[in-house]
Amino acid sequence: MAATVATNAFETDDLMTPEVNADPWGYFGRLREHDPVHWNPLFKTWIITRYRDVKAVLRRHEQYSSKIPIPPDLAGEYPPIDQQDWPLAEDLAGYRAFIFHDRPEHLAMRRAIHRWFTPRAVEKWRGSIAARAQALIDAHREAGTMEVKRDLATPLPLVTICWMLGVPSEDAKLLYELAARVYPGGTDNQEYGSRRLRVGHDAITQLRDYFTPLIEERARNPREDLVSMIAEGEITGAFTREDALASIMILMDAGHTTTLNLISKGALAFIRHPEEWDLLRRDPDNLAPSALEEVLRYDPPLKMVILRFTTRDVELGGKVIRAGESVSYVIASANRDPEMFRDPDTFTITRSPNPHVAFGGGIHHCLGAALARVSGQETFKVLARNFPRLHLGCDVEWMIHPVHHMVRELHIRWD
Amino acid sequence: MTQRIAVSVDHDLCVGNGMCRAIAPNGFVEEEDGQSSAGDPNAESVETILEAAASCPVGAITVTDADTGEELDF
Repeated sequence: MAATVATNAFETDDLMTPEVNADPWGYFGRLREHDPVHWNPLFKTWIITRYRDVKAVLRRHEQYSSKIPIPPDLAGEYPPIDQQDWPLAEDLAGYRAFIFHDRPEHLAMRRAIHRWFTPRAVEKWRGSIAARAQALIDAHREAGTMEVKRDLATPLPLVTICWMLGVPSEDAKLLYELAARVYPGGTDNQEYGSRRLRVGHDAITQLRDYFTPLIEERARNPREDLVSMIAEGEITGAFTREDALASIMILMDAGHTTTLNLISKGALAFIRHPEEWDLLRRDPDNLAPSALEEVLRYDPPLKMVILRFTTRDVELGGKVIRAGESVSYVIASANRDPEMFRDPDTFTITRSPNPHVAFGGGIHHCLGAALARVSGQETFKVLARNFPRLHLGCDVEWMIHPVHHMVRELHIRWD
Repeated sequence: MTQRIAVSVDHDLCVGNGMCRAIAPNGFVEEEDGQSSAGDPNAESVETILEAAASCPVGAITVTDADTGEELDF
């Protein structure tokens, strides 16, 4: 399969280098100009960088399937995975989450839980999210400094998703750390290199031990929470037990790590663009919504999504992608496509319209988008009201990860 | 007499999620670009249309009374 694809040589296909990770817009922007539908022989995936092609992939869910083959073929995995761990891939429960399913089962799974995530439903969290953000800032106000990821951007969404799931908040930190290790592509998993499959499998085992009795308890005695809704979905046949466990894991991971990156990278964008910070401060309540959209466009929580397989031969951007090939789309690049956005590399919080694809689109459009918007808007409003000026308190180090564009830490100071 | 309703879909917001069409297949139609538009909302119950409107992840759907133009809550 890969041997017959004519590769258009590009400066590098190794997405794990510090240079590519420090400046994804430079790298993927150049790739977008040079070869917008690009076969990457190292990751064995087609990389899609133009806005219109990314939208096409998102829309055509029948042609671009989300079903990861289980077990995955690990021989070609890059970076490589320890061969002694390959048998563990048979049990990769995380891959049964709803994001890895197609219609019709995908629709049944989302219908079972979407009521918790609609814009109307999440509005009721706005006040308590704002209050929590203020409390987290108050805890550090006197010190004059904080590490944004640890002190604000992690605890805020983590407590929210635990409340929604119906999980005691004292268990939140452990559960989050486990969930972030589950996916070989997950936020913390990449750090473990060739051992990441074993690390993921250990995490799945512990999460299964934790959630199995909880799902069974909520099936017997349902409450007003997401685990109860998922347990009910198992009863009605929308989820198998493995689907249910996997969907809880992804809600724990995605329900918090993406918001974590939204808040930390948004804070960084405002530190680097103080005139936009001044603008937001003049009228935070009215400007926060469009400011948040511009943060999502400018430095989206997900950089690239490695998550589609063609179900038949398809044509995209003048090339033919054969059936069964992997397709990855680069949100970060689509969001800066000059065909769609004027002055795409300019961070301007009043940008309108702003049809970014930070939340994807089509049937897999981010389930948590409305909650992310409320969380992000309220956090930046609170920061704007409290701090006339923000400053960097450390050098910025970008972590190495093909999917996420994340800072390692973000120490800030304020006036 | 059953209330007659109208729906509109804001195409600046619609992301083609399709949950509305899944819940109320007669109430919405799929456009070529994957977005949804109003179909025949009165071929569904008012309750079903309101459920579909509430399901939109980006709040693109408005439901109004077809005679008074008053917006319906969901």
